[in-house]
Amino acid sequence: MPDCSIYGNQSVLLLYTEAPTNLNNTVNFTVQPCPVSQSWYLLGNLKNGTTYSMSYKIGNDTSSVLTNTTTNVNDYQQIDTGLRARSGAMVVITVILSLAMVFLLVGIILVFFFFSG
Amino acid sequence: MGAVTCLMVTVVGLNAIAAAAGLALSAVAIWVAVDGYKLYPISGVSGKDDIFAGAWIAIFTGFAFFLTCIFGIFAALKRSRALMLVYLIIMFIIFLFESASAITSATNRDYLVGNSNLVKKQMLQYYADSSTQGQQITMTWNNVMTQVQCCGADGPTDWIQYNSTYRQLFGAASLWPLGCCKRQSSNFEVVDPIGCKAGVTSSMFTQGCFQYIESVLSRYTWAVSWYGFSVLMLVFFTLVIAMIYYTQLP
Repeated sequence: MPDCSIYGNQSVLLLYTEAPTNLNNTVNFTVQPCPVSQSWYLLGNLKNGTTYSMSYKIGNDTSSVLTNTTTNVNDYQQIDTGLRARSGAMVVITVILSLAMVFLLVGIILVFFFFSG
Repeated sequence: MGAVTCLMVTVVGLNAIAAAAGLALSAVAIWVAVDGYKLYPISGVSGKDDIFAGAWIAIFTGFAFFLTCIFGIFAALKRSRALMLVYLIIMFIIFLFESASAITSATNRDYLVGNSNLVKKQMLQYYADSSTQGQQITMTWNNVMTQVQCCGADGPTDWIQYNSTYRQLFGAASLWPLGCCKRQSSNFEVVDPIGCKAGVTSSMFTQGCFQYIESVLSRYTWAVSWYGFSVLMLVFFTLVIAMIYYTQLP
């Protein structure tokens, strides 16, 4: 925002240009006097995924140009929710328990059929 | 005779410990099934709720271990071959079920919270949706955002980077839900509604909720899966000794 001690209570013209169509737009607002309670201005109704160049103009003073790009909106359906990786815990538990089940089964069969006291 | 008595004492002792461990497993699984953190809708709506299914199985297998181990103590003291064989077979069957519970809980946890994608997509799809699942997810997320003081899955940028049901319905009014805004501790009103809508970082929560959701679901999983695993290792050791005892009986 413009400095409140120099430009307080003055009217500001915010000029923003959309690239690449070079459409010009302006917005008027008043700089708050010091001390400032709201140190930002919300510029609304911008298109997504577009680059804008912005500058302030107060009386005869023009600020330097600020360029920024709005984010592109992705479709949430595109988010891939497949299984990324198996955790170490899951691999350890599965392997060891599977081996234990096999040993027990083999053990019970052996003990029942081959060791008759 | 001395060796057999020694084996019998070992079998009785191990069975007593396994009975206590089985009862504790049952109690821990009840804690998971009760879901004190109220995060069940996140796994229920996604259809991957085997962490809780594993907990239900563990309740029954834990109690079954308790009862069968007491029977095992009785069978060992009676020095009866037939009873010991019955004990071994029943324990093996319960072992199979409890193994299934431990393995599916661990695997499902990886599906749900291996990374934040599933939770994020579910939030974007169902938050503010009017279906039953939408209402459940909305209520769960509102609770989490207020209690943990967080916004979005990885942060508030989730609401900006993706479209969502919420954005379709309320996007003109605000980019993210009101739950993302900081509230006063006294009367619970939003501190700065205009600042929160504009994205001023001092008026809203900037950390993501995924870390909290992941830690709770992991806690449930470790209770069912790792504790179940350790009970199963104890039971495995007990059954090996019981099999050796069985071979020494006349």
